Amino acid sequence: MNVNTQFKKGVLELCVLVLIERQDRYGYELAQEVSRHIEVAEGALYPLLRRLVGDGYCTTYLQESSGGPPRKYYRITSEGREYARQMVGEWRSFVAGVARLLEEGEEG
Amino acid sequence: MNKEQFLLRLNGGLAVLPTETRRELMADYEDHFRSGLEHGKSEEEIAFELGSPEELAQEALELQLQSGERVRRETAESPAFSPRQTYRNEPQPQPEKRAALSVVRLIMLLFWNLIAIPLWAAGWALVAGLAALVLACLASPLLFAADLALNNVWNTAEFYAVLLLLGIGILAAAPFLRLLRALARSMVGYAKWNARFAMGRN
Repeated sequence: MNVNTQFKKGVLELCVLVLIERQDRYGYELAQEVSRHIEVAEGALYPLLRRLVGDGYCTTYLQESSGGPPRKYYRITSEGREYARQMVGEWRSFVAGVARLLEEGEEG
Repeated sequence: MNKEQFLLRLNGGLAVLPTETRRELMADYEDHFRSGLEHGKSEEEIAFELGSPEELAQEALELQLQSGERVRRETAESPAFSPRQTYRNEPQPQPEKRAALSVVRLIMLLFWNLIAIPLWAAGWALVAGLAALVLACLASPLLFAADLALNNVWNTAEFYAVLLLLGIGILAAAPFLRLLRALARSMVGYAKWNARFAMGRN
């Protein structure tokens, strides 16, 4: 497994949390939303979602879909909301730090 | 790779997981295929977007392992199985570095404790003094009663002084117990830190 996929795996958690914070979603929908923005192996979502549920950051419920078996929806918990808030903060300062580092390199 | 091939390879990779966990994960992937087909994708497209089943299986095992370790920490039970052994390419923790009792660290601890232990002793002595004070305040009515019984002389000033002392004793008891607990806790923490430091894992 190369560095790039490891890196994306970390970011995937952040993306998923932010997406389900906005609204409840089911697995396939989450995969589509994430793939719209970043290139990632969509299958990695499901082990991750299991872990988020196990950690108490989100819960699941079943909801009927039009003309098919019920879908498993993911809903964020208050702990999940708090965790997402922290992660977004860390991400912002991380990105800003990397940006500063790159700019310094260009100046020097 | 079509749906069946993908699920078969994934299921093979997940063989070491508990049956229930594996069943749930497989159901998630099956649902994913169904939703993808509803959205007009081919099985091959969906499988390609999901990624390599072997890598996904490995990822699922790693995450399961992490949560397994968390459960183990919480319940202090030994694991039913140890999937970590199945990863050959993963960097293994170096036991000799982790568990070695270091002589240098022991000597450092010795000098450090030359200062720290007297400080702890002073702390405990202070607490013992406070304990005597609080107990004396609480016991003062008994002494007053004994005085009254033996000498049979009522001393109003002494009576009010005893009331005051009793009040102080009652008020001071709870904070004192908290202080005692805090000191005991930090002492245990300090002892644990010593052990960790000596083992080189601070």
